[in-house]
Amino acid sequence: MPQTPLSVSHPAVRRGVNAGPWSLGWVLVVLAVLAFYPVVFRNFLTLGVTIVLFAGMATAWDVLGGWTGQLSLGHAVFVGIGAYTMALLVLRAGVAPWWGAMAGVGASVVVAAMWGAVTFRLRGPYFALASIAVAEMTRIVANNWASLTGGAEGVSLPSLPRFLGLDLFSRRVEFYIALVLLGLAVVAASWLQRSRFGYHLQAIREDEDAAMAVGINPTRDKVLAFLASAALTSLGGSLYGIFLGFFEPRGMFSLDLSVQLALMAYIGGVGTLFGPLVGAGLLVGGSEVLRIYFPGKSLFVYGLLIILVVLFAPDGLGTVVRRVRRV
Amino acid sequence: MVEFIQIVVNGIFTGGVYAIIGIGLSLIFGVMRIVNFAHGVFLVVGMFTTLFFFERLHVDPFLVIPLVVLVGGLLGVIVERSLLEPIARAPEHASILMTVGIGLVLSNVLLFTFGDAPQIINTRYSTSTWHLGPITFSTALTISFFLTVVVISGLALLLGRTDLGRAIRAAAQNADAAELQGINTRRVRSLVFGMGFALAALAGALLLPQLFAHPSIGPTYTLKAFIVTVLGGMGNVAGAIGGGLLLGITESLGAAYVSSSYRDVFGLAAFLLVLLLRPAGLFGRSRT
Amino acid sequence: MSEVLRTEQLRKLFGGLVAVNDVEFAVAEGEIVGLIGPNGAGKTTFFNLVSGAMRVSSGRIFFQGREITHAPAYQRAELGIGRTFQIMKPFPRLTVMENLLVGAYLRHPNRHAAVRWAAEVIEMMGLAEFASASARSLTTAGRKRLEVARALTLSPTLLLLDEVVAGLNPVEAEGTVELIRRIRDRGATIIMVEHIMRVIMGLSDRIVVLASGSNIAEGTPQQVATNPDVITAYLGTHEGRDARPQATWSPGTPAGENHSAREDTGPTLALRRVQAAYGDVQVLWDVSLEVRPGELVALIGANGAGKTTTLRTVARLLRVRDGEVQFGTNRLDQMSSHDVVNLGVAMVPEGRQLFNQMTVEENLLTGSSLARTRTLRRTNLDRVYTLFPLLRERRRQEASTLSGGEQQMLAIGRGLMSAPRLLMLDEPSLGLAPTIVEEVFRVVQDIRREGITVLLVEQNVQQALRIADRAYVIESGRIVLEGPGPELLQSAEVRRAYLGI
Repeated sequence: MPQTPLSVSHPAVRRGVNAGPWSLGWVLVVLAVLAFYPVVFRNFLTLGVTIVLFAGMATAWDVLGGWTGQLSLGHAVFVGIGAYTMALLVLRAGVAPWWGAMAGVGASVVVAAMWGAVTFRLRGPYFALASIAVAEMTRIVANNWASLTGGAEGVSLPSLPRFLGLDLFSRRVEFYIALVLLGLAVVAASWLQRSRFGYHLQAIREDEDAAMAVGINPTRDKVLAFLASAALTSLGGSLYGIFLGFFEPRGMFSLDLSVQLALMAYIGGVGTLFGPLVGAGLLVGGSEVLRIYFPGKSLFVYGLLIILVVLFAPDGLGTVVRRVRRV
Repeated sequence: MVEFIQIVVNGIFTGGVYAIIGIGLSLIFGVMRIVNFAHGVFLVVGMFTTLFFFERLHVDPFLVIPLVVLVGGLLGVIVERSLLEPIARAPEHASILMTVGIGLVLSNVLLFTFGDAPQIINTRYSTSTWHLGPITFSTALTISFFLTVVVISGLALLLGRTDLGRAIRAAAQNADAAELQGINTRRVRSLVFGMGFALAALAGALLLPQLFAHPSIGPTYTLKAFIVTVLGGMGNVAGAIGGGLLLGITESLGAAYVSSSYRDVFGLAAFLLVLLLRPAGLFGRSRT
Repeated sequence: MSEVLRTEQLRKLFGGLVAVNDVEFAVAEGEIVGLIGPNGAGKTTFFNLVSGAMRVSSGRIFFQGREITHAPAYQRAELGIGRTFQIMKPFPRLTVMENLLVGAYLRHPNRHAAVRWAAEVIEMMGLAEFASASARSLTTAGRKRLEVARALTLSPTLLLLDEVVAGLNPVEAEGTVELIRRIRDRGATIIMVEHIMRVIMGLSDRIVVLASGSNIAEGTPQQVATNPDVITAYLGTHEGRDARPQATWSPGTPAGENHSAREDTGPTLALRRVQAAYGDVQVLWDVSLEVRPGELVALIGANGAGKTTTLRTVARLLRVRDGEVQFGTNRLDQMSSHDVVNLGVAMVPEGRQLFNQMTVEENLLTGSSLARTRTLRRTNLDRVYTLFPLLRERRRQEASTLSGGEQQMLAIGRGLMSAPRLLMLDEPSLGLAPTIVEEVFRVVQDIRREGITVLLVEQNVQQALRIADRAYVIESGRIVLEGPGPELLQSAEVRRAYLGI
């Protein structure tokens, strides 16, 4: 079509697309504020690591679940692969944990590619159901393949080499590594918010048929999103393994863990930059408070919050905050 | 050969209970288009309700079953009215998240109420058996199976022969057309969810003699329910019977001849394969 | 001029139904081709085949001389086929600008260039002021324009427009027509499906008429509008005028005579200034009509005019946005569907809507679900079996195994099982063979002779008007004409409403 003289006169036209530097600025501000956490809450470092680490993994989950609209309830697979690949390479081959984590990313990407290629033709609840099946099978195999994984008895990391001179078992170090990971995930999300690829994913989420009609190949793009999501989750898994020091397949590959990641994103708001962070803060913090009164690990808060969110804030609590602020 | 028959018989006994779980889930999916992620927890609620009545009233567990079913049905209707009806028109993931949340809340309420220790029921016939030739039958399981057959037959009659059953099937096949026949589909939805909960609770009561009850085992049975309904075809009630028996026998054979620790993998693998290759289930035509 | 699109023996089957039947079709560069045909003619299916949203059953598709029969939809978009969706598919949570950016990126991978191109399209489409609004907040008119705009971002060589004008008010419609002209002037080739005949007759260089999946006529708007086959396809056949049987058990009353005198005790259905909408898409703007006891009233109008919506509104399958629906002294607009049925208002929906996996008898029994009718169940069942002896023979058969005609009979029978005082029939003859159509119209007359009031929606206008006492003509959600059936039959107005001439 011939070009006509352009008159981008209306201010709404510019407001209609997300201004990049602005949201990236917010990301930096939030990360900078979080960086002070270890200084201020010296006695709650473990809680802080848990929140930031889960926020990072939930943001990674959100690349597939929120931005692409594919509800996975099997992401614990990548947490487990990240943790186990790292730990086993450390224990069996003497590889440094950071290289082990990289190997975990590689393994997760391969698994995600196969998993996605097979199940992305399923739509709606069928994809979610298939993801549970994949994750449960992985858990059972990991639990029983004792010669590889140590089986139900789990693995423990007795000692680790220093990373750039830092002690990886220090909560403070773990906090900052988790923060870097969260930063990575949020920057990835902010890129999705405004890049060509990001718009492809959002279009697929909104309407797959219409997305195809404007030239988008949904299967390819969904698989790519899955790979990115798996890689980031796997990194989180490696760090989670170090953080725990000891873990077993029952926890690392559990359905509960998969569900938690999804719920964090949903409660905070899927497909938003900070929704998963808000969700992680609320859920991890909430369970922590509850644990003080009721001994034993409890997901009660998760259940209650998700019911309230579905009923009263279907777009997530993060968006409620935004709505209130606008008023 | 005797061993094989024994294993298949055990599989059929368990499979019957799986069928009950699956029928409930399938009814709910058929009428409400909801994949109920809390289904296994409903079963656990049934287990603990049975335990509660057994310990407080000292009544035989099989005799309190009507009470358990009633409690389950009531809870189901309440849950549907208060939490699911409001989101009936919301996008699909809303109902998934909602039922996940309901499951978490219920299982944690059980945890607070009954504690973290696994519980078992002890009756005078818990360990008794009877024999048919070389095959051994557990008395408790036999009673369970007998009840299973009665319940499934009753359901078949209800769905096939009564106005209510026709109303349920009509609402599942075409809700608008059902309304045009004067059927109150909103009431049918509540009722079906109540039935689903009641059936799951019943299955819990029937499984109690052979299992430890613990608040955390819900998701395991949610998965089994998914497997059963996907094998039989989502929303296909008759298929759920076949799916249940198939899962029971597969698990039983797999555990005996391959590996008991991989018992659950067989069902999951079959589930995944059916999802990918025959999404309408093994026993049905595709619904359009 | 070079050829942009050509189809050879294009065919699409849904189960046993032939939706598109060996269609041969060619479009030259720069043309605007109108694709018209009655309901269910296969127009949207044809679009879906060309755009790749559906797989062909057989036949071939060529785009600019290149075969694309098996290319996936996204490749066809890349090649330059843009389309809109009849059931609009915006990306609801993205802003209008972002909706366009998605497509703009296809031709302009560079962000700056993509934004620039999207901004240009948004200005051209007059959507600039909504650029930062989310697509779901747009009105119907806005969304329809967004559909077109999004397709335009692909800089398409061929643009498929599916009902982009229907549902707009006259001013909006005029604007969109102007836009389509401008798009063509910028070099795009256009195929459009449109129910508003005035629009399509005015815009198209050439018109192709589909009926029951087949290409039945082709030519300039004038040629097509006067083609007898086309008129038959739209208005139905003249056959059956004298085939009307004499009533067997009640005095035959000539059609056209008002029956209200005979049955003045029953309630009257009255709609007053009714408005109704599907979500944001308003379909009924101003519908007022009355069906008096014992009458047979027909509601006719072009596709998409709001006939089915009117019936659905009465049956309360759709909320009444404004206005009143009254049956006797009861306000239907405040009730739920099943209560409406309980008052004696039954509806036989378009496309039968049977419970396919139930037997014939079970389908009929569901029809008497109400406590009120359960006691009369046996009597009513016998009545239905007397009316349709074939159903008695097939009563153990599953509904899905019946032929189309038998299914229609079953649907009507099911409606009668609720012992209605008013029966609403939605397109009972749709998709049936001519002899069966005859049968259906006979049955409709039989039913009213039994004293049941009938409100009939029919696309076989000739037949419907012949048997109706009175009829209403609906156009774009408004009642535009009312009168005795046979009188309307001669009316040029009716012809205009359907064919735009």
